[in-house]
Amino acid sequence: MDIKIKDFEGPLDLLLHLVSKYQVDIYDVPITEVIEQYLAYIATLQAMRLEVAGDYMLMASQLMLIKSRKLLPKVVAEQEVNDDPELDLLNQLEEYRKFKLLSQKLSEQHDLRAQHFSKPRQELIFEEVSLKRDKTSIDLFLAFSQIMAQKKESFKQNHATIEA
Amino acid sequence: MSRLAEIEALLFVAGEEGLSLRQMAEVLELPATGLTQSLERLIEKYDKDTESSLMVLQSSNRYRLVTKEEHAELLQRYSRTPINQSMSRALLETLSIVAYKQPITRLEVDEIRGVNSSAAMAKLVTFELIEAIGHKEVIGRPRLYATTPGFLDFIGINSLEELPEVTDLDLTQEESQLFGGQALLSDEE
Repeated sequence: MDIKIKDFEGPLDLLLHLVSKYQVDIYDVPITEVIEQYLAYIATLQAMRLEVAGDYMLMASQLMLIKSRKLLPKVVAEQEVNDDPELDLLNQLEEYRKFKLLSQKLSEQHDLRAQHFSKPRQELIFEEVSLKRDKTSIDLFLAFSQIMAQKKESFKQNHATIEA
Repeated sequence: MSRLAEIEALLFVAGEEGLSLRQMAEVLELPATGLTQSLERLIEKYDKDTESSLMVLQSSNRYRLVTKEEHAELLQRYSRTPINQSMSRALLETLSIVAYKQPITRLEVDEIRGVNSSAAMAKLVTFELIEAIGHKEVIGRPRLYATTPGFLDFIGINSLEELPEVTDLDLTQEESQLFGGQALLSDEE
């Protein structure tokens, strides 16, 4: 295993990675094998005492349910119950994959836009202008908290710390 | 006085906020059609002039006076404005889900991503790329989010119709390079 949990945006991303190795349509993936790999991966992480986010645990339990149901003999009357969680998961994966792609495309488009720079608006001041008085203390509060939040965020981005 | 110079003066003062066609038409007291022609002439003038670093960019239905892309590298060394910063994968994923599925609740975003997205949503609100536009009339009345006009400028388009689409071709291509866009922090261990 040459992958770290930090490389992934959550359990769906990790599953997508495991599934992609099969080079087949998502709906043709040998789901039990993928489940095995997922659980093995989580177990390895835990053995190394790495912190695993709760989302991964939740997914693990859902996968165990799917797997255990697959192992049990099929009861004809309860057929839809058997297939449902599995199909839901596959649909979820498919949907997630679509947005993962779209976000890459948006990122590319933004990069093109980000090559153009402009300057802040020039505040012009004239004598005969009168004050509108359409702002309240709430507007002031929101404006300042906005600036603080943005500063905090950009500070975090420009000063990358190595997360333990 | 030259019409083009007047438009240029307005765009210069408006800066990153830019101006809509209507605002310009009002200030210049001109019909919008004539103004469009003048704008096109101005765009062309900048385009031809290799000695000029400026151009007129249209996004989110506003015109902005911006620098040409060939100066990007030089200016990146100098300036860091929010629109010219790249974003983390988590933010981009969340943003794209809101962009295509709006109006959408945070819970619905969580469901698609399979992880909690509240931090990412809060950051996007801070950057004024998404905003709460109302409540969903279900139990708990969760907030519904949509993208802002600032988002359109962020990716340089005029309307949501211009958002890129996913084709089958992309999906097959992606099979082979699933690990193209990796987070940068992963090799620091």
